[in-house]
Amino acid sequence: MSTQFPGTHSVQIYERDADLVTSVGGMLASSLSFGDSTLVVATREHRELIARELENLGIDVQACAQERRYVALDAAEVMSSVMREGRPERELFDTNFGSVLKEVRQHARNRNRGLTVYGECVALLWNEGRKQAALTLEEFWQEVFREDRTFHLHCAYPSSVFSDSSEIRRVHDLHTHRFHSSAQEQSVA
Amino acid sequence: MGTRLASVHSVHIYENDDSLITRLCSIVATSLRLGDSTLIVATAEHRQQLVDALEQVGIEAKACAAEGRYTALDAQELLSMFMRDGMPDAGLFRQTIGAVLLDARRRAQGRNQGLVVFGEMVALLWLDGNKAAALELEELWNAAMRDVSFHLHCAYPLEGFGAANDIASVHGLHTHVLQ
Repeated sequence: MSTQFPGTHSVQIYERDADLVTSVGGMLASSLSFGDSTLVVATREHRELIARELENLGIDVQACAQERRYVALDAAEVMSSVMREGRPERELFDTNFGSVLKEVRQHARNRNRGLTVYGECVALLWNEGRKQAALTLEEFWQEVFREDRTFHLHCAYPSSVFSDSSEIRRVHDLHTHRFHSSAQEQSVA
Repeated sequence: MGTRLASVHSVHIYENDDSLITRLCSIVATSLRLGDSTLIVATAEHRQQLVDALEQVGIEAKACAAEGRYTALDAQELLSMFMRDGMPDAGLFRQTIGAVLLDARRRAQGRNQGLVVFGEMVALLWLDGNKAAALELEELWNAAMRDVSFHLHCAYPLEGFGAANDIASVHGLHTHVLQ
């Protein structure tokens, strides 16, 4: 169970990579400090920025990776492993991704087997204009959360991929919590 | 029900203020970003250091305070409200802390009203050499967490520990030890 935010499916819509990396870095640093496992599914650029941010926050990323409680995967590769004919398929999702989740959380160092997942697959799909596929993938996650309210999944989308506020609302509605990069954002939300 | 399904009572035994504030800032910043409330019971120096660190990661403690989601209290002042004859008084503790906790949690924006509390009162007692009072206060916090679900984070400076069994006795009162 995630030490801090079990059963949380949060979403962050960000403008700058720096905002994303600062907030996701803090979130993962916190989880790793508690002995939780973390799974990062992101672009190579973001994986590198996040790892650097974690080091800045005093986390020994290499040591955590060796303990296999910090696992970083490529979002495009993971995405293709759960898609068939351009659509996410629940069976592939369960088989290919479910096993990764199980494996990563086994290496948590605390009694509650804490797990935090940060994922960018949905953002990649949305950015490619495959919005329905992104929403389907989010729905898969919702279904997972109905059965397993023990971990924390955090998703992030760059604000540039949305054409209007109704799209943002649709994405917000598929999450339990909206994650704010700053206090100002929160007060206008 | 809090954002957390079960209460977490974590402890960090730190070597220097930088390490304390870096860890604390990650915990508090993430909670505030998710809409939770935070209650900071610390020394003036640490309260200021935390506000500065939060600002560096884009969180304005003042704006969160205006929403009632960031409350900062002085550890020594709060201690004086429930300490009697060198020991914490259980009734006074419940009276003092209970209302503050419920109020802080009520202000959380998240649908689950999550609350993170950072407490340094135990560390002050420990540094004063009053270890029995510190351990008793930890027990009172544990009892409070049975009534209200929240995450309590404690921190002690490493310099306050002379023997390994002291560290073990503190670790034993917590659900998570920060690494």
